[in-house]
Amino acid sequence: MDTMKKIEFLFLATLFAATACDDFLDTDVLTSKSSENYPSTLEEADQMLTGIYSQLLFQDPEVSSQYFMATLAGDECLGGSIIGSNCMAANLMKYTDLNKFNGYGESGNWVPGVWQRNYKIIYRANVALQAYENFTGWTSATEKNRHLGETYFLRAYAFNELVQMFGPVPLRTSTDMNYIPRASVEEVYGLIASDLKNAIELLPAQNYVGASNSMAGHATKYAAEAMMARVFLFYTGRYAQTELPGSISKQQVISWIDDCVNNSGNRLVSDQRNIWSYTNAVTEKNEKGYRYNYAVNNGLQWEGLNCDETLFANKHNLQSDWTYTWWCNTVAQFFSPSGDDIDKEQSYPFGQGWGAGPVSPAFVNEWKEWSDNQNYINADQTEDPRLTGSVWSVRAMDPNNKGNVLIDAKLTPDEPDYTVSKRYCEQTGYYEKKYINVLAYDGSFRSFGLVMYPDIASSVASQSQSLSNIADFITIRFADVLLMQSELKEDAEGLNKVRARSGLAPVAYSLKAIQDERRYELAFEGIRWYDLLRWSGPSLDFAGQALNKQKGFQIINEAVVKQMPDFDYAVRLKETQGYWYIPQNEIDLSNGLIEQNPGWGAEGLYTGK
Amino acid sequence: MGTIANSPEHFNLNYFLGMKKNKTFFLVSMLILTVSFSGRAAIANPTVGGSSIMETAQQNITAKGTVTDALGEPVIGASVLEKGTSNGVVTDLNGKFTLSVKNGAILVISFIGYKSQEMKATSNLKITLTEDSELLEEVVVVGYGVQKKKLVTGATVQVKGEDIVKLNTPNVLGALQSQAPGVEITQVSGFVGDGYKVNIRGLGTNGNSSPLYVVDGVVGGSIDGLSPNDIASMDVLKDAASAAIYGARAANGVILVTTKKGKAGVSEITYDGYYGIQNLYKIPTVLTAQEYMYIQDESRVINGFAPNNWASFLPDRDLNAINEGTWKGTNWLKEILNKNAVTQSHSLNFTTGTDRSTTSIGVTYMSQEATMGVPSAIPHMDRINARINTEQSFFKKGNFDILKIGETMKYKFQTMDGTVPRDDIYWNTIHNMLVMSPLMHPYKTNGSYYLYADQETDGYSWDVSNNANKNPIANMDYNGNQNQSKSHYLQSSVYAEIQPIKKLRIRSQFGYMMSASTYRSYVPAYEHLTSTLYAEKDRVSQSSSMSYRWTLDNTVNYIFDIGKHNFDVMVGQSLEKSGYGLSMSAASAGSSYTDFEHAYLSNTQKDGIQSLSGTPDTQNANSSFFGRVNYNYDEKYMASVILRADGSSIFPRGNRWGYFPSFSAGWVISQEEFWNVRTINFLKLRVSYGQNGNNRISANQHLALITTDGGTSRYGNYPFGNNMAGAEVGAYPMRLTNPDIKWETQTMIDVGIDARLLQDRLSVEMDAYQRSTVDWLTTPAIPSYWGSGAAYVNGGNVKNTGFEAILRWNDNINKDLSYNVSWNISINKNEVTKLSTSDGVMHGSSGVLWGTADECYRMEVGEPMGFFYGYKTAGVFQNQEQIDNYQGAKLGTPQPGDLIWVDDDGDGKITAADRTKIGNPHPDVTTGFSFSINYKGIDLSVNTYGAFGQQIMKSYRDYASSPLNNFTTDVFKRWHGEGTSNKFPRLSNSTHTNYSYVSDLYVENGDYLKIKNVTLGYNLKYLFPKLPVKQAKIYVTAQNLFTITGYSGMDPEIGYSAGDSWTKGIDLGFYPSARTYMMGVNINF
Repeated sequence: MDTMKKIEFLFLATLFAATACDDFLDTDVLTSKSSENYPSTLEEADQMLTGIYSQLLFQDPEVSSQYFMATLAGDECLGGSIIGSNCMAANLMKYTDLNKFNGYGESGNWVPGVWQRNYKIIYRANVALQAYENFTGWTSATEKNRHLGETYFLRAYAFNELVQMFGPVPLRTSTDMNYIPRASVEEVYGLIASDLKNAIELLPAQNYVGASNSMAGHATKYAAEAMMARVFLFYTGRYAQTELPGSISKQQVISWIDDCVNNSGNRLVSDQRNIWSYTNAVTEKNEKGYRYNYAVNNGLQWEGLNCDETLFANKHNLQSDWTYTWWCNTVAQFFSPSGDDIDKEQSYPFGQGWGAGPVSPAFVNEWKEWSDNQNYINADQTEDPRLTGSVWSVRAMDPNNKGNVLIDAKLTPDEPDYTVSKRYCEQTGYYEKKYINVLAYDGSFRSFGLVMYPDIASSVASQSQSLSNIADFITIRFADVLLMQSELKEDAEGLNKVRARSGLAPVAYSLKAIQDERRYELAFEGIRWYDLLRWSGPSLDFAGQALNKQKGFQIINEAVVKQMPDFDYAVRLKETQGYWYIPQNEIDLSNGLIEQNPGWGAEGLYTGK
Repeated sequence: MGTIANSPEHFNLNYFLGMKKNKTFFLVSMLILTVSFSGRAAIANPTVGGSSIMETAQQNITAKGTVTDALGEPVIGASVLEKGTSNGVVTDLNGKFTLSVKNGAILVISFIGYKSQEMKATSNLKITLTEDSELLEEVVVVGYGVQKKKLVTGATVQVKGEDIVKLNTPNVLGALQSQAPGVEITQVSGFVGDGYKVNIRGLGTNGNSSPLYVVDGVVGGSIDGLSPNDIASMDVLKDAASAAIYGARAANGVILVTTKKGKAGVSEITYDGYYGIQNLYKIPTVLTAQEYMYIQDESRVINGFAPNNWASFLPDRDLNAINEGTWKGTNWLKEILNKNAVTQSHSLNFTTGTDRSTTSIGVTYMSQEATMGVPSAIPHMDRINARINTEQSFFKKGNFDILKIGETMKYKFQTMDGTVPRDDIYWNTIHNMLVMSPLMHPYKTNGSYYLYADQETDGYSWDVSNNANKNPIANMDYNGNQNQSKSHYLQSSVYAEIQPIKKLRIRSQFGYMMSASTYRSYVPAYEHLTSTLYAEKDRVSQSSSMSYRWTLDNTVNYIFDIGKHNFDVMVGQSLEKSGYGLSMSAASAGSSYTDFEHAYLSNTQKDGIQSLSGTPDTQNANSSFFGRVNYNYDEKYMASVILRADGSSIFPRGNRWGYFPSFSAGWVISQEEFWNVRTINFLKLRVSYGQNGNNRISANQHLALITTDGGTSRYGNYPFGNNMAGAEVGAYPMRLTNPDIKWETQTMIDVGIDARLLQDRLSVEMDAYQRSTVDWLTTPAIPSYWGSGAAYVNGGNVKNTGFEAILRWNDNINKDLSYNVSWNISINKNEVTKLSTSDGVMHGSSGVLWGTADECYRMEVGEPMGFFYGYKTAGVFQNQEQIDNYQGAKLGTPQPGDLIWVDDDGDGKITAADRTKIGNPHPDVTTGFSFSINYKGIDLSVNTYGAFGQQIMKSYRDYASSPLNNFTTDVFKRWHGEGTSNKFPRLSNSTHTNYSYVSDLYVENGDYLKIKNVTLGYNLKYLFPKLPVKQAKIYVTAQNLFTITGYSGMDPEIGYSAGDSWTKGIDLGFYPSARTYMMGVNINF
């Protein structure tokens, strides 16, 4: 049996050797970098960060922005779009076809897009947070901290969109393929608060204001501070809490927002209207003498990209084509009126788009009334300039009967007319013009961006005006910061700074004053819907009342004047708790861990017209 | 080449003289030269032995004798060898021999099938050889060694080289098809050079399901293009216990290929050659012009439209000719048939050996023409295989070798000119020909292609808006046939075997494999085929790749016994590394020449570069340790234990190692004292249990691969800093990681019986098995909250349960007449038992049957993999009354002639949820039958193969969006009035659910039985005993002589699977196998 023993020994010895030959089994990946060795240079560390930012952009807002959902759901705009689509105001709150929410329908791919885009940010951020800790090539601690800080900011930013839209969501902090249930709202806010706190502490005290700065578009310490205030106000308001999870107190948030106001380098620009791209110069300077009288008569002058009031924005360029749509400001494309029957000369300088979100007359009327009741610093001033500065009010011309006016909603004779579309619905004669396609004329009607940058325009893939709006999509603005400061500190200082810029006389602090000011200063900026929810608290009454004002006025459906249908938004809001439909695919593939939000079963189906 | 079609005779002559004939002639002459040269040397060496014979002649005596068998009949060709030397002869036709040997020498007389005998040399020997009734002493290859067949406890099957070569198939797997039960072999297509899908004991995985090939002991070799003439034997390890010795990669079974080796004392030269012609025997009948127009009109009228105004579409000349019946229109498929396509093979084998050294050399030249293709340049393949196997004994002690060193080398060089696309609907020539309307001409009267300009001139405008006026033959000629690929494959090994003490063998084998290939193609500039399809500039593509791989196997084997306890112990270790090669490819436009001959990148314009790439091979390494103990007690009770540990670079550290154990046992009941059943002279029970693995996925799933999209594509970029002209490059991980990824594991239990009855004339082997695969590797549908694409996961199980049997009857009636019959059958049931996807479905591709078609196959728990999926139909509404009275669910508002759909889920509506299982592509039963009879030098053999129980999904046209596609004559079975059909609905000139839903209309039973091979041969040696050869057989063979099937398509044996390896049987215009008649000779010197 000696031999047997020898053999046994040999076998055990080779098995032992097995563990030692892992080196032999290590292979190299030669045509792509991997998480094992990435980043290996500072440039790669930058690329990794850029890869996260890339998912801020909307392929088209209909499929991937919470802005689209918030603006259509709130009390500023109706749904618009084509008859029978879920865009229509009432249909959006309920639904006519869940395929449109799931992305399987002929048009519409709503919530899955937002869901996917934000979770891509989160995944890429999770990968980067690990990688940045392992990377040894940092030239300074500041550089490392900046990368980490921006990454934390972006992860918080994405989770904030998700929790605002869907409520409890899976709190994904790993990069594994592991199924997890939805975390509680408190847990999600716990991570958001801690990420923002990390961002505030890690990011250097620098600001990137100024059009020439190559850092324009990056998150800063001050953007993180402002974001923290926004999150704090929303969470404490909506869920009736006094502080953010992780013991982030109101006092702490106030100290950050004060820091932001005092040290960010941001300022209010002289006229709020100069932030919006319709005030740009090339729109006025053209051989045919096409003018936008409103801008000319009010002496408006665009502040340009990355203006001094911007704390954080989605950046754009002229490189879009119909495959890579997201380089342009697609929000403007979606919220421009339909171009079906447009007469460009008549409607100059506004270009056509996909007809979402006609402005609610209820909103315009309340604004007018409020404006009439304000005191003004200068006795000559009689109205809030922001109303006509934010709303394009038109004589809505009949496409079927030339010269026939369907609705005359014009607030100022300086505005051009608009021939409505034969296909689109819920048109009110009002369009928001903060984000709208703006034309210029240089022999033909083109997007102002193409005329403004002729050297670049000559070589870009698409000359389409639908793909060339270059304006920033501003997500955090200094006026918002000042108003949040006021609201947090319950004093009127910030409030009155904002009022003063538009010529309004100072007022004493009250929540009502803040609510009104925010509504008009920040109109059409994706803020209102969440303000409504947070001021409602758990009861959702405040929001329900506001939404129920969207009735009793005339609208134009397919070029026919009709009455806005009656619908009880308040009841519906309670059914859903203000949370959207969770993409069915996520539920199907959740291993049974994810359940649908309330109100989205068969009972939610809209059967009206 | 632009003038080819203008002067066919001139061209053909040139082609024939310049290329084909010349090449064949050259190769054949080279072969003959080689034969005469090396043949002479090989013969001269052992028998004449050079001058040494002269020197020792004085001490020699002449041994003479006769060798007979038990019946007293002379044994022809028996080997008579002077023991310890290479001096020997073979017996003549009368069994006589004469040999000059040293005085007192011992002669060894041997003949296959008989027991060897040793005798002292005298001048008048009478030797009676007794049959080796113990055929069970037959030895089979079991992986890292051999074993007596009667002691094997696993389920293996061996097919001998002679049984493979006699079927004259171009590919060895083609010959294995009907001979190995449990091994399901299906042709990928009938095109030259196309291979086979091989599944051993059912389909066990969703990924690569091919077995592991081990060629001459080298793991992972390829048998693609191995010449059948090189094969000594093929052994298939079917059960997990047998395959466990190859552990991690053996889950799909193992096929061990042993190539021919030299034998001590045998010097032989054989020539084997055949020449044959191939023809397609069944092609679909498409509509003639008149029929086509009638049907097209009907499909309009039934929808309330006026018939076509044909005069507005067709030139008057053509329309008149059609109406008068003088022109039947173009049958496009017939236009591309290549009648009497040539196939031929010439093979030479040399073997020689002494007790110290053996050599085997083989050279095969094979060429084959495609049975279809561009008529002016039919695709064809040429292949050369060369093999040299040698073994030398360096030190010998007594009758065992202390050190042996050997080498095996196989080389293949294959050239393929042109091609016939045979893939999806867009890239399938047969499909293109079937759908093309018969109303257009292929050629002008001068012989050149009929193109768009000619249509314009003539006023031909049928189906122009869909670009369906594209001349498909011209298109194939311009856009896909002018190319050539060459491939080289070298498979070699060197080994040393040391035997320090008797029966302790230490063996070390180094294997090296290299493959290289080049490809170039030319797309000429061509005139408008349609209004939009033309090429202003020509295009040249060139690519090449080279890769190599090595393996190192070390084993120690010791055989010993303790009393009646016999042990055979082996331990070993193996290393393997691949991924050393690289490949490059480029395409460029604007050649300064206008033909394929000059299609090289250097001849194109520098700024014409259209694509450029260069990549390294993916690295892959394996390290393994294994051991086996075979035990038997008195050859009555057997047991075998195998353990293998495998490490693979595909998996991350920590999950790399897989451990695969197996156990098997056998009991030879007939050895027991109590056994007294005389009719059953051998009976063995076997049982085995084992585990194997599968790792065939792309590597590094535990790493997130970072991409910047090459910096150009823009999914990760962001335009910081108001940069209107571009954006900063961003990087992101392309997919998720799965650090827990591990082996896919298969467990198999096998119970078997081997028996021999009636004095060994009947042998029976039966096996029942259950094969469970768990944790197969797949990319699942994943929730999007994971934030990226899926990595592979271990996520699905499948179970195969089956039964196999093989029965052989072997009888010699007398010395002139013998025959044998063999029948095998395999039954297998495949069932998916788990899927990781949360909807419980693994979806098949959509758009397979036609561009807008839904998925037509899928996987679901409880069903076989890749079952056909769609709507069920229940006949056709014959009239309005029937529709009005119909109580079941209707789809829309049907009209007479529309289908009655089955409301499978019973919800009162016809919805997507009513789709269900409408077929199974996997046969329930496959069977092979062969018969051969030998009478006085004449032999006849018949070989059949059949598969039963499977269905075929067939679609030869696009009903959904191309109503103007041509039809096959199947359309005559449609409903066109009450009572005309209760299966096939009415036609429609636009998309209609009748045909645009994937349904059982497209499913047919695919049962078939093929007479694969019939060979009639005659050994001329019988007629001319004086011929200076051992055997001179001439034969005629018919392949695919006959197919019995109810299937309406061209060929029911369909391996096409639309890109997913887990289904098959999809016929979109499947390239059928040909019927081949050939004649050949087999000469054995």
